[in-house]
Amino acid sequence: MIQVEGLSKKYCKDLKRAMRYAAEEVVRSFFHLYDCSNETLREDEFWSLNNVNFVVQPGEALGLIGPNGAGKSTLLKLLSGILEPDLGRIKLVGKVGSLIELGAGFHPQLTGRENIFVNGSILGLRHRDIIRRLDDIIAFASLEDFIDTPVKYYSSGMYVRLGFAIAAHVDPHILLVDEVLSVGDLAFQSRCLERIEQMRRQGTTFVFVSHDLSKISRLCPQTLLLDQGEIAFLGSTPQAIDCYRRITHRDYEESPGTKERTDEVEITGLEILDPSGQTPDAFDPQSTIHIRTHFRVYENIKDPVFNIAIFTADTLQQCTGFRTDIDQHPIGSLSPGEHHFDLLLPECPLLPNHYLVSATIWKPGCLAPFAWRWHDGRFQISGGQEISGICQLLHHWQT
Amino acid sequence: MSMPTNDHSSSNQSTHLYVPHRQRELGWRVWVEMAAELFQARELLWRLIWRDVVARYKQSMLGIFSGMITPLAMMMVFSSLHHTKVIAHTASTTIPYPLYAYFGLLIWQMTSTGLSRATSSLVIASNLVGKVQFPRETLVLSSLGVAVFDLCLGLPALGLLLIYYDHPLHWTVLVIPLVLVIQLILISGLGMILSVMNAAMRDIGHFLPAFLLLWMFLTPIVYHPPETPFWRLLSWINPITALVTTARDLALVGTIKWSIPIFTSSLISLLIGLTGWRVFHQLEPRMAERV
Repeated sequence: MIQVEGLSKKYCKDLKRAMRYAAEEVVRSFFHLYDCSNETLREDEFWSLNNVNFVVQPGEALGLIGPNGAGKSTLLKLLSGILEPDLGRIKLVGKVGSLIELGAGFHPQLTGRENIFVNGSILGLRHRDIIRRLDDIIAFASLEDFIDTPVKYYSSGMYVRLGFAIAAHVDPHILLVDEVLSVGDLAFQSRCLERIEQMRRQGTTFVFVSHDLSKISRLCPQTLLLDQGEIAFLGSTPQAIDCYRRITHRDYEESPGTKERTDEVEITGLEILDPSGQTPDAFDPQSTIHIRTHFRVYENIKDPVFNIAIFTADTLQQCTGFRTDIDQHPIGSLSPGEHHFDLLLPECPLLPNHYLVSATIWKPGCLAPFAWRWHDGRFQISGGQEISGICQLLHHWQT
Repeated sequence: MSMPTNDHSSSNQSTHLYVPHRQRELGWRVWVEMAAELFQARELLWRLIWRDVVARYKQSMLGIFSGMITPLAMMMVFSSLHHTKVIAHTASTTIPYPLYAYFGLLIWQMTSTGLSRATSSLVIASNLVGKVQFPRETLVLSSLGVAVFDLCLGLPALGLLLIYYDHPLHWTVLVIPLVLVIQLILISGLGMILSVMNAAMRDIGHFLPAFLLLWMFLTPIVYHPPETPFWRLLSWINPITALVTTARDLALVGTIKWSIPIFTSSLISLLIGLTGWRVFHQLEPRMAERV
């Protein structure tokens, strides 16, 4: 069981000052002086975690998501006892294990087998436990042929496989997992997930940190969303993911796209509108989306091609594209002045996520562009059910 | 594949409680906690010593002989300096100079390797220290383990020198381990303080070699201390002086000088050892966020 009450942790932005504060704290705590520095922020300090409360019952799995710098890793380090809280308390019942850094402390000169003994000891296994589990660990990492080779000759995949295999055989009651489930090839990943499922059935309590939302929604019914050190949401995973998307939308707003123009044409802006002409925070998958591209023409041009492309904002994977020449929608000639064109998507079967829009105006033949705006428009499809992929096709089941 | 199963029904599940200033809340019981933690980590300590020793000699052609090369080479340098009367060896000792110097250098090497390895131990393991929770004392202590191993590797050459100079080895040599343990307590205390300081300020690691060299020449390793008030005072302040002299007398002269310096040195060593350990335990959680 994990019980966290009023947990706060602060960091100092300035290294030199951090050292001075640390020295002060140490002297104070040695001589038992009254110390108020824990509750208040001193110069250059900020709360990395601020008043976090939650409980994870035995056998439950809690997802932990949030934008970069939200305090996820800090929370995990506090839970594993590496850092000491500044305020609040953490109570953990049972042996704690962590999958935070795989293969940390492997010695490159030593063989895989020798490193199992060293790493296992560091993770808290006793010698006889290691001997008992040795064959399982080697088999899990499928390193039977290379186990007596120094790990410096290992590929990076073999390295993390061995690291995961050792950590996964420590058999803790509470396991803290930080973004390590995307190691190795697909076969190994599914073996990792299988192992975690098995540990869950045996009653292990989990805390998962991941940016891979599909893994979070598969493994954790409950999710804690952290934002700037505070709990933004704690509850069912689909709601948490939807809430997380709204937060990341805010962060995407701040990163500008790129653009390029020629003497003839310039794209001046992209707007993503709903049918009423508003710019909503998020669209339902069923609602109509207008993508409006504003552009300015400086010289007469003939037969340009308009091109819109949609990308996922997190992986920049292209989802789809639209071109007027392929759709046989000739544009004709355009005279100098302000213009715009609209692309209407009556329903947008993209999966819930953030998307970026790029617009290009091509010269006839689509070999060279007049102008483009890359990753400039942004919109979000709402919803929390997380499925891997980019789009939802129209479908029916028959059984 | 058969998987080991968790015994989740066991009632003796350990409970961890993390609160601010946990050690302060504990009061004097922190010593009990420290001792228990270290006792539980004994297997890990052996494993880390084993790792460092194996890794060190794995890729060396001379293997375990490489341990005696440094003190032997230094002994030859100082012997030639002594031969040409640069270093005086006038005191009333029957020990041949090369033997005298080699013995001192062997013990000094344990001190200096132990201390320099211990000082850098936390920084070298920083990726581990920042990511995994385990008793960090083991990192410092395992550095000393390697130093002791080096000392043992230098013993065959000492044996050869004894045979060559036909110098008797006295039964009192059996007491030497006790002296070495006291010295190890001193080094571990210093190493713990220095390793935490080095994690905060890398200057410590940069200045350590110069400091060790100075310390070596302030200790009667390769010379006999003159009987002047200055050197007598120094032997009282410098805890290693009495320890090295006593060890050498035990092995090569066969007498135990139960003089005051050996008592004060032992006392200082114990104090430094305990203080260093306590300071390390107190500072280490704060340092984990900064190494």
